[in-house]
Amino acid sequence: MSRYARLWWSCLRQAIRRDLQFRSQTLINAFASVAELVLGLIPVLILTGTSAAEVGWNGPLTLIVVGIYGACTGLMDCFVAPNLRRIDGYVRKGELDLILIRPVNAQLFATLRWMEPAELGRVVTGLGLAVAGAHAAHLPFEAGLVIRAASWTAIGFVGFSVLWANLVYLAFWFESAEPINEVALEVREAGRYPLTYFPKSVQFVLATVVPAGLIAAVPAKVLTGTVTTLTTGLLLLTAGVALTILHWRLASRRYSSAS
Amino acid sequence: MRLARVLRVLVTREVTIMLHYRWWLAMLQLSNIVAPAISLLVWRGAIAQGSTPPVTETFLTTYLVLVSIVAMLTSSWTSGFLADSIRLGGLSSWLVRPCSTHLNGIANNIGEKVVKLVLLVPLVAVLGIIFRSEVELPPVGVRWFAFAVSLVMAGAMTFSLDIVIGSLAFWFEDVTAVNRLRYLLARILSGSLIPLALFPAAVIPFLNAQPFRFMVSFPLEVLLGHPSGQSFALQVGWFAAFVGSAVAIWRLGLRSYQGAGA
Repeated sequence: MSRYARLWWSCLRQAIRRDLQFRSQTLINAFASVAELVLGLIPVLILTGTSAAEVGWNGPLTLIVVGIYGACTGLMDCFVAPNLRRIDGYVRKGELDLILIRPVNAQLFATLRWMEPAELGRVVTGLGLAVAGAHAAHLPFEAGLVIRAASWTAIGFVGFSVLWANLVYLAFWFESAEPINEVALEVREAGRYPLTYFPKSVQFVLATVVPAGLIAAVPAKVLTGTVTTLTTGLLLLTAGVALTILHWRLASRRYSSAS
Repeated sequence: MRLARVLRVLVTREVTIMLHYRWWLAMLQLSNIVAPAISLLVWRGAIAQGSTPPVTETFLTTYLVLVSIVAMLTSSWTSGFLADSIRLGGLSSWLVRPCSTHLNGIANNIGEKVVKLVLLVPLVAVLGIIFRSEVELPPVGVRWFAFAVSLVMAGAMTFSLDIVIGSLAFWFEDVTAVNRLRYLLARILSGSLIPLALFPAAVIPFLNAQPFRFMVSFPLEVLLGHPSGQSFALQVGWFAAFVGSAVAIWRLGLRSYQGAGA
């Protein structure tokens, strides 16, 4: 375990060094990452601004959803997305050889190797928005609720990453699956909106198969005091992770290498 | 006349190449339709729960069903290719030919649109059928003609902006981050995510005047609404400004171009 922690730390230091080599690019990317959060707030605020009071969503609660969503997707875009975006290239160009010959778990290494620290700007801004929203909504600060909400966000984070990973593993089965990353990113956008606005069937999908709704909408509800049990979420997540490991094993057998 | 012939040959070549990437392009079209479909679902959900947007449900639904087609037709992916050809020296081979690299860029864009249109229309049709009770198109006539003219000008504006951003590679090593910023701004300001009419009244005058409106929203406003003559004049003005800027920056950049290996 400590070997993997050391490996991850080395990858992070390498990513920071790489970003320091291209400073202007990194700065613009950090700015764009924060701008993405702020601009993403606009349609959601307009939506809740025109909504009737009985829907139960107002500006401050929306800020919490968008803030948590921004922070969580900032982490995803820093640690997960740069790796998943490269899987297609690994398979198509035979670069996976260089990962398979290393004395580490290939799936884990292919999932954690690349990082983009510039995206972390969105994490800070997102958390700031969420705290400001909670303050404006006069939500009581209870450690239990915060831990429960953070757990739901973590389930959403891992759950959506697992779904995305399974989609990019299609690269092993088809000639090129690169645009599947764009599909995953667009679907993830649904997590920016309070779930109440979606039809019931879509709400169910966003809470299970495509867990974008668990990233922010469910945690925000939890912060308002709505009780939700974590057991089902954890069970689904465990099943998802197990299926993803199995999928990698089956898919990587089809890999024909660079030779 | 000669240019038209060359363009036809280039477009035919591009379409043939694009057909090799049909599944790749099909997945891209799926991603194109997801964002408007999400907007459509949440807005219709909000209206069903008593929300009162400043536009009718019919306008909103028709707009969000059609917006992915308009956004695709007026989009351009030239900046990345152009920046690469400047950075890696590929531009040199176009500079010695009796045909501009931009004609090739136009052909490339037309080629991808021909193939993408075939792939996107069935997806939009499915969305339209699902929400058919609230989709309302005008009868074929002058309005469709004005829509087509507006669409061509919108496409030309986006292409010109792409040339401007791609030309930054004459001075900067990488233009990816600038491109990312442009896409972020365009996503909100062009109306490709939600109609601009839904924004608060205080910002509507600004939204109506800024150029991104004329790249996606305006052609749809022409088709589904009754924009003023002043708006048409504004689109012509922005069109001239974008094309003029692209020509000026390209010429300026060429002076500082050094082919790879030179």
